[in-house]
Amino acid sequence: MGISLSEKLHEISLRARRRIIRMGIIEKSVHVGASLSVLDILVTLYFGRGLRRTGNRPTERDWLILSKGHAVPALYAVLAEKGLIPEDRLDAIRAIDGLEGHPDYTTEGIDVSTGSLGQGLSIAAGIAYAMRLDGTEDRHRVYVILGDGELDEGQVWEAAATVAHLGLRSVVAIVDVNGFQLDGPVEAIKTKGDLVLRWRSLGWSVVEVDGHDYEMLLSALRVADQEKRPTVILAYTRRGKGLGFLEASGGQHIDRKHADRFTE
Amino acid sequence: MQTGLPSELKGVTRIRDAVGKALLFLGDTDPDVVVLTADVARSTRTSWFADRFPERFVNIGISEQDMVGFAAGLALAGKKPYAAAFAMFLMRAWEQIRNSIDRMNLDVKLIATHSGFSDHGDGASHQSLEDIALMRVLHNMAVVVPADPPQAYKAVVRIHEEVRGPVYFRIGRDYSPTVTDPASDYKFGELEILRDGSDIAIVSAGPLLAQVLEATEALQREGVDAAVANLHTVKPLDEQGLEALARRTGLLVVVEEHFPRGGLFGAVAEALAQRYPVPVYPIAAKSYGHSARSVLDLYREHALLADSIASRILEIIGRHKR
Repeated sequence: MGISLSEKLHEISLRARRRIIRMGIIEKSVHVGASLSVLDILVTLYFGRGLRRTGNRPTERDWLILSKGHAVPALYAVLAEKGLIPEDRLDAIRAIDGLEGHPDYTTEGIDVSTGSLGQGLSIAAGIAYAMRLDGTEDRHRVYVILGDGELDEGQVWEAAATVAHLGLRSVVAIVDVNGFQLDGPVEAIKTKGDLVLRWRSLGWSVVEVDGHDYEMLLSALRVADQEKRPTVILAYTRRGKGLGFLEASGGQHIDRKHADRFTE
Repeated sequence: MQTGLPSELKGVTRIRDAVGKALLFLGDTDPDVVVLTADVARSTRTSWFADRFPERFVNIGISEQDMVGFAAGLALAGKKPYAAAFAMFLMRAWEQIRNSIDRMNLDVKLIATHSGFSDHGDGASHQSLEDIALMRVLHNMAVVVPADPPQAYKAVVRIHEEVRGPVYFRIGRDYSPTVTDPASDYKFGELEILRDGSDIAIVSAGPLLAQVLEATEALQREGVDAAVANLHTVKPLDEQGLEALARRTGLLVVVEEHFPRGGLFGAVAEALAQRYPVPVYPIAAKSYGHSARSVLDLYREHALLADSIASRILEIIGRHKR
């Protein structure tokens, strides 16, 4: 008997996690915590759902925008699993001739340059509107991944209203709700309000899932496929998932003390 | 695509109307054109496009940052978006323009109306005196300041054909006397000589060119033969054309509806400092504006009317040539 899809995704995720941690040890400024929290979402999209990337026109394919661009090591780790980025290239994270510290569209497999928070959902809306004009909005999806800290940016809510107003159902927003932003727990920095109500009041379909549970993530993505409205998936995750000391502290980076544990 | 003056431009005297007509032309000839605005459809004349091509028009609401990102998405997906708003309020989205458009060199055209003092009635909050500087520093962005309605029309149409990449069109509101030859071809990136002269060269752009040309008549009476150059393309800059003016006259004045830092004066001075250094003087906005019943009242206050321009130039010439 073969292994289940969840088991397969778990194995992929384990390999990707090792790649992220390795990047975090090689280059201390890498945002390991946020990368580990978003990873299972990316693994589910790429290896569970499967992004359809084969169309000739830019509106005949699925798009993925990592609006929380600082988590790009997770995307690199997944693209390495896909074979789009050579494994040894990951070691050149943030090096002068290596991989960028935030998503850059010139990197194989990366659709949109991001890095400045709050801008991805607007871009997703524009892509989705182009799909509508080209008659492909029922066949393709624009996935945009945001952080919960990122929701501080006013532009996110401008865009959330635009997407809802235009009924751009091809937009699927996934919020990686890991509870932390750069300076601390999200609620300590700025009130986020009731996320379900905030999105729902604008006209979004809201689905809440455990962001590390592949079955739940897949089922939420299927809901988004059927919805006539834009869907936001609130994916509750743990920053630093899989790395005990980061999970415990909500930390972002691997410091020297911890790095030593990995280097015997 | 023809770029000569179309019959529908007959009787058009306001520069924003000419741009509204140009967008209609593009809508008719290119199905990839999509027009966006931020709750200023009527003010920017994009409502005309909306009426004729409702599917290809989106009013994003009062959210310029979102509009800029939306435009970026359209361009990534193969469309040719035009995003229109007041110049001042597009500037609040400078960082989005930089990171979501310019950094990916996306084919997004920004239509910035009500620039300079042209929104005279609304006052300082609505008057943009910094936008050329802010757009000019972007790596990929082209910056175009059409002189008058015919040139605005031709510039939009011709650049649509020729330029794939971000372009900032600086458009005024109403005051825009025709100073160019309506039958002439529009040449992107090429300085346009509106008047020959050998004593001094006056570089300007937009509606102020009318005042500049009038000033040359007063100067002529004083025995000063001034050349006038229409710098409709501020970026990419026609450095060769500027060098030729500097070699011919040895003295330049830049007249602009903008603060003197970073705008046309900055562009001209930067280029000549490297290519052929001669004295260059700004005649520009002196401070923030405020409300006025006519843009000419603001020009008067900032010494930008023909007579003030002429006297200032005589002073400058006195310092250097007499």
